[in-house]
Amino acid sequence: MTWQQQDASYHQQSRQHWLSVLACAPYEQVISHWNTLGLDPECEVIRQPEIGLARIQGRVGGTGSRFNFADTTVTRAAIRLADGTTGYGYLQGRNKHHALLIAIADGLLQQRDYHDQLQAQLVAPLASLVKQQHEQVAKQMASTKVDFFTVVRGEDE
Amino acid sequence: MYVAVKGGEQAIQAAHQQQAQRRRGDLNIAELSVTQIQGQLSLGVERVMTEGGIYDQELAALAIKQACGDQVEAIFLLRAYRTTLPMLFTCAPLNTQKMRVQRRISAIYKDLPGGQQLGPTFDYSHRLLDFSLLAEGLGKPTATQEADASTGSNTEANTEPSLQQPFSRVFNMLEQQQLAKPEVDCAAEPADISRDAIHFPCSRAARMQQLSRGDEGFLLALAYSTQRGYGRNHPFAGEIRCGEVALEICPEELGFNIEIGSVLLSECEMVNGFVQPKEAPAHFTRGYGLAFGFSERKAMAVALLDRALQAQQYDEAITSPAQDEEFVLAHADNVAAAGFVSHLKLPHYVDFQSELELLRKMHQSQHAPCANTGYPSGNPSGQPSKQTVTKETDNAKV
Repeated sequence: MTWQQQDASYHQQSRQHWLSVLACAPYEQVISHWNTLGLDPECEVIRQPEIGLARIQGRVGGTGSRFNFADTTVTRAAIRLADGTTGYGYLQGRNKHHALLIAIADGLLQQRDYHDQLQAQLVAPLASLVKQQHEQVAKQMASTKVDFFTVVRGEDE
Repeated sequence: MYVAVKGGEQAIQAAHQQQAQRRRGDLNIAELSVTQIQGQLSLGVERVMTEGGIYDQELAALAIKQACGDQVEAIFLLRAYRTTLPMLFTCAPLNTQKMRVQRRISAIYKDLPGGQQLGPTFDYSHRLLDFSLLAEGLGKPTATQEADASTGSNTEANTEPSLQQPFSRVFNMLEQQQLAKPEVDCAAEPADISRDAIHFPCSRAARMQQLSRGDEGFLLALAYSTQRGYGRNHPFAGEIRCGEVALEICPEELGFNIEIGSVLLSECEMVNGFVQPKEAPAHFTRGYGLAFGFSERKAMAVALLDRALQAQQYDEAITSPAQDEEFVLAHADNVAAAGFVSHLKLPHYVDFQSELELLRKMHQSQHAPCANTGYPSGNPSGQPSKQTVTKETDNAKV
């Protein structure tokens, strides 16, 4: 039984998390954290990075029936590591290097030998960076909070 | 009907070169970069993305640059690019309840959970030209940076985001009190008008897609017409919210959802005049609008038209253009509209020649002695001309 089969549900959650973090973090940040790891694993590209579209659907009233609203560009890639582990990369936008890098990191993150190092030095710092950016925007926007006062119009006087 | 013409390659090439030079403008002035357009003309970029139908800021900014700032041309470029890409995924439906809200206002409740938050807006500005923007490159801090610096410590203290109440939906409150009917998911696969041409009458899904891609100016004017009495629906801006919503896909290889990024959206929910059905309590009606970026004028126009086009559902008399589904939807697309209007520039030499001939014959017959026969004297066959129908066939053939 491989390490990744030991706790399928935990593994899935954890993989969901790292794939999302790696896709949502800005490429410059992903590559700079990756470079500090000094890793250069042997791998085969089984799906060259491909740019395409993903349909975005809205819901009428936010909760009702779906409608096709628009599309977004997406890029996907897949690699196979020397030991046969496949890694996938998906992200919004058209950055092929980013997609390939996610795929490689995804492959390594599934391996016991690399998992902890990549979690600690790649996924965790990028996750906190993304979170920080969200918080910063929220904080800036919160400064525009407003309390409106209704002025008495004087009809009742 | 227009005809094919040959020749003119050199002239066309030269004309395109002229256009390229005009795009570049004065060589003594630094060239505008796509990144600058993306970052500094964001509302223009967002409109092109909404009507072009693709969320990709860089591509939209490139289209704007290439089109010398002509939005309709840029939208056309983006639509054309769209056709070259394969459709790889369908994202999970947008969950706007989980929007990372930047702006949220309501015109129907002053105090509501989460409060009102203005976000970036032109509202409440005096619309006076800001001449300080003319003083470029002097390293002066912008008005916002100054405001941040002066109010920074002050605002941070009492507006810590983590302490805030979540922005609950205004319509939820109305629904709970049975003052509005909840929008329920009918679970039907939505129409895709970018693949199958729209037919009338159409589903609300097809209508929403066409309105979302529709020309902002056209939709705004029609929405305005409902306010002026051409199909009144008594609207209130129930809630307008702008912010980022995560995008999730479920790749087959993985079998579970992952987040791949996010889109900045404006969402508008209009509360409209109430109805009194026999089987249910009286309740308000509603209209919904969605647009990329801070395009709330567009989202509001879509919401007003979404409601206007529900006229039939509420047994309202269809008396005005904004309530006529075919009129609104068949003319909302500016790529289609610009295409058909522009086609008038194509050579119509033969068509025009025939009309010209007809008119000349009419002139001749007016001056000729045998004018009283009713037929042009120059007509060798002596038969009436049948060439007047050419114009009407134009539309059908293209």
